[in-house]
Amino acid sequence: MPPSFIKIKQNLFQYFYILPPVIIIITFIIIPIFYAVDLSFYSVHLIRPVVKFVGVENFRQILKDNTFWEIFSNSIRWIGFGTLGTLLIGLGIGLFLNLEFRLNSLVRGLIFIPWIMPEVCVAFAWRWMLNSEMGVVNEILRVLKLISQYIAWLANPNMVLYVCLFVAIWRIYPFIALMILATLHGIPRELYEAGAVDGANLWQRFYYLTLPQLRFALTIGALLTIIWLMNSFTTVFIMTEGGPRHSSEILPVLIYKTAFQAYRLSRASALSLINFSILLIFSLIYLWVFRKQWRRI
Amino acid sequence: MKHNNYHRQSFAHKGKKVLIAIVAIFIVTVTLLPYIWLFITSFKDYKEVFDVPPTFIPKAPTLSVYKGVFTGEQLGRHDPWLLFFANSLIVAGGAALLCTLIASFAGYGFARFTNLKGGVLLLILILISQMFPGPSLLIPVYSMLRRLALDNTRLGLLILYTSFALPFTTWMSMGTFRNLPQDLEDAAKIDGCSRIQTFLRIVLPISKLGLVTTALFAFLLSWSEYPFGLVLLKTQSKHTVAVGLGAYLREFDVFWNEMAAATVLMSFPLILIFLLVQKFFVRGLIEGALSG
Repeated sequence: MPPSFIKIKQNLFQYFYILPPVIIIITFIIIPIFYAVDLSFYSVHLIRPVVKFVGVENFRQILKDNTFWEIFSNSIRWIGFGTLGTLLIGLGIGLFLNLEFRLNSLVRGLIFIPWIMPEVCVAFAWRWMLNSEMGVVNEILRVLKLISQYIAWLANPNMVLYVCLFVAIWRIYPFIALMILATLHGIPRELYEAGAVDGANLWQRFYYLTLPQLRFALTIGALLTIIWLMNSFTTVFIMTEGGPRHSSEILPVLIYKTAFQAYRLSRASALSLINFSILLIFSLIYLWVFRKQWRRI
Repeated sequence: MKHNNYHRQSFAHKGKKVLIAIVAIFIVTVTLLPYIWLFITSFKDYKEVFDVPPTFIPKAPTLSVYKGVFTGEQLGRHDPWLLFFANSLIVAGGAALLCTLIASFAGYGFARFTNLKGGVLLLILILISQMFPGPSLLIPVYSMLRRLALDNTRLGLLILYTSFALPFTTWMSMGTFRNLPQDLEDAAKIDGCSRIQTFLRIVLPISKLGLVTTALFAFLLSWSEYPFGLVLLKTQSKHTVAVGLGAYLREFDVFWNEMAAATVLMSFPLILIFLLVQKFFVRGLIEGALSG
């Protein structure tokens, strides 16, 4: 056998290792995206059988709809405030866990539990705790004299989105905190010793020494948070189903309702693509942040 | 003077310690409160849940609520919870096994066969497709699986969850294998092992922790996944725990104790597993994310 043929055979064999996940991912993750594009140009209704090519009509209808813009702006606030909140809390708790104290590893283990708990359970637990009459949150705040009367957390249209967002943050911050902690553990001690010799105070040490080291972790943390928040459906769906009216509705919930409560499959597809395009932008930024790693591959 | 200074320092030291303790307790409380509260609620009887203000310790703790979850007397509706659990075990367990098998082969391939044509491109595809599973895919995946007659089947969901977990787990296991020293494999090769023998007999056994992390990640994701299960499984007897619980939670706003008990039952297995493997599992996930 000529050597090049052996090479090809060997190569083929090696492809058997890496191709299976690629094929599965293409079939169930990539092809559906193209399928959504196709679907969005028709008028598929889950109950009515007539299917017609309508071009960009679905998109035009969506963009003309005031409710869509209301929900879109909810989504923007959801992602914006959510990312900011998650990073700040994650950073704060990451820094705190970097202090040396007894039971540190216990706290570290326990704070990861929200991330482990199924989202359905988390959403229900908070819905129950935030109940306006029998909820424990109101009672705790009242005992602590922080409020004088019970608050209807999930019924107030101005508040409900942020209450749901609090729960979403509560669920994802542990990952970010521990990611930041892992990076902090990697910072050489000498750096701080040098800083101390130069007489830098706490804030200066944080701003000039710690923060630059955390830049990579914070960037990745921000992108992961954005992507997770864009994909979050269950928290809002179980807590409020988007209500009252649309005040806590975000795009993923609208997609579900359009398809399975209004039965407009094609319109829901168009909405999915709008959500997906934004997701794609952030995913590409994520890839770009990792560009150095590829060269190493 | 020196003495005085020493005292002041130790006082400040103590103050710092107390402050740390307070913050730590606050963090742990806020983190665990929902779980603790579910637990407390699940032992209250059907009258006590409606107490205003809520009681912090059940007056007459009872296990009958847990029984009620399974018998469904109070609701006048019988949800087959054991069946839901069995379905979840099949779907999540199957997805975990399948995913570990595929991801470990592929991770090894990506780590070792670095000069393969198109390898980097495929890796980029895998890395980016990690971001896509979510509500944006809900509609097209539903329509596609319906065409393939895989909607309303546990098998369809099993395959779907496998594909959703694959990007991250392939990536993670590539990291695991890359950190293994190549010398070991070279030694095995000299001893006459073929590549596949080396992989199965030498590489896999020493990367056990990586494999377990992979399997757990896939299991966790599949056990907890809600939206796809919700739209794909129409028949109640096929529901996973997440879907069954979701339906139950959305329908009622009264049987709080029973809902809490069901919720505890669903999350308990996960928390138990997590507490057992916590150390290396979290490290594996974080390293996987940071080495992206």
